[in-house]
Amino acid sequence: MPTITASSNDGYQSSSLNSSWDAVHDHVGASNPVTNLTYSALHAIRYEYVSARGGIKYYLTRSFFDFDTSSVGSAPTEATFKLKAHTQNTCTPCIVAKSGHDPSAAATDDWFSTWITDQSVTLSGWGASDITAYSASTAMGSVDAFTDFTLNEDARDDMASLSTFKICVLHNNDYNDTAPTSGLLRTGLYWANNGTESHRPYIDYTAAEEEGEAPVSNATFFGANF
Amino acid sequence: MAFKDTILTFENNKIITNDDYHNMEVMMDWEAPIMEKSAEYICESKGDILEIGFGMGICSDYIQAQGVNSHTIVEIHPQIIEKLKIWAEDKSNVTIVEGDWLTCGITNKYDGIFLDTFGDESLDSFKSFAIAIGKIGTKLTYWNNYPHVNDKYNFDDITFEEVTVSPDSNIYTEIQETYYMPKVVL
Repeated sequence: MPTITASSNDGYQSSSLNSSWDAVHDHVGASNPVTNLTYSALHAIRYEYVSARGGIKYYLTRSFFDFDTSSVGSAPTEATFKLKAHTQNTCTPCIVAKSGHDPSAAATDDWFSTWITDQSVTLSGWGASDITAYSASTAMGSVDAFTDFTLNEDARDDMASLSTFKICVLHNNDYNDTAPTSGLLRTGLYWANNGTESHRPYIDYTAAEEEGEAPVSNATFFGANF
Repeated sequence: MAFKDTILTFENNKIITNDDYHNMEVMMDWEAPIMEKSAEYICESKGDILEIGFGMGICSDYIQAQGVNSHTIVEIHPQIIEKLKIWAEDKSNVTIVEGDWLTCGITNKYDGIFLDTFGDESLDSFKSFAIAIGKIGTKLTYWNNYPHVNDKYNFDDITFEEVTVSPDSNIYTEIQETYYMPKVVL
C-alpha cells in the first residue's frame, strides 16, 4: 500500500485567549504558525474553556499538514490519514478538514480560520457548512499509537487533483462552531520533523486501477473463477 | 487540571498560573482600589465578615483595617493557604477555612460577604449559598471580571459603583479604566 509522509511544513496555530467564543473560533490567528517542532506535548490540537476570575476564556489550537500528492494519478479507492498522539490525547474527537494554508507566506492573517474556510466565505460565524470535511468525527487513539482518520471521497478526489494535499485537524466541536462548556482538552502530536520515522504523520492509500493496467483478476479477489 | 492542583508563581505585584491556565494572572496589585472599596462596602456593619478567596491578601488587609468583629477566610489553593496562615498569625479575629466554599461546611451567618475566586466551577450555586449564610441586610459583593455591570447571579437588590482603576497588562480581565463594583443587599 503506497504511503505519503507529511511534509516538514506541518505544525499548529493557536487563537487568542478570549471571553468571546465567536472571537476565538472565527479568529485569523493570534500569532504565526509553528512549523519547526519535532513534537508538541501541549500545543497541537486544543479546545478549551478556562474558568478564571468569575469569567470564562476560550482557546483553540488547530494543526495542519500537507502532502506531496503529485504522484497520485487517480483518486485512491481508500485512504487513511494516520496521526500519532504525544503525551496526551484528551482533545477528542477530532475531524480532518480541507485546508488552504501556505507556510511559505506565513502572515498571521493568512492562517487559522482563513485557511480552512479557504478565504472564500466570511470569517464571521463560519461553521461546518462553510468548509469541506475530509473525514468523519474520529476519536483520538492512545498516546504513542496512531489514530486512523478514514479519508472520504472529497479527500481522495483532491489527492488526485491537487499536487499538494492540505488538511487541518481540529476538534469536532470546533468544526461545528460549538463552544466548550468545561475542561482543558489537549492532544499532543508528533510532527513530520521527528527524527524517528515511525512517529511521523502519513497517509496510506489504495491506488485506483490505472488506465492500461492489467485488470485485477476476480479469481485473485474471490478465490474462485467466474 | 483543577485550579487547586496547579503550581502558582508569586511575584511582587501578581500571582501567575502555569501553562494549564495559559500563565494567566490570578491576581495583580493594580486591583487595590477595587479591594479597598469592596472591603469598605461589606464591612459597613463592622460585624462578621466572610471572604472567599485570599489571593494576594489585598482585600484581607483592607477588611482588617475596618476593625470587624470576625473575619473568616476561605481558600482552596495550598500554596496560597501557606501564605494565608503566615498572614493570619498575628490576627486574633481571623478564622481560616481550607477548601471549596461550597462544600467546606460553612453554616454561620455573616454580615458581609465577598466572593473572589479563580477557576471556580461552583459559581452557579453562589446565590443560594449566599442567601443561606446571609442575614437580612447583609452586604455582599463579588469580583466582576467584565468591563460593564454584570448581575451574573441575579440578586434582587443590586447596584453598581464605579471604581477608577489603571490595570497593568494582563490576560485575565477586560476591565480597563472603570471597575463596576456590585453592591448587593440581601
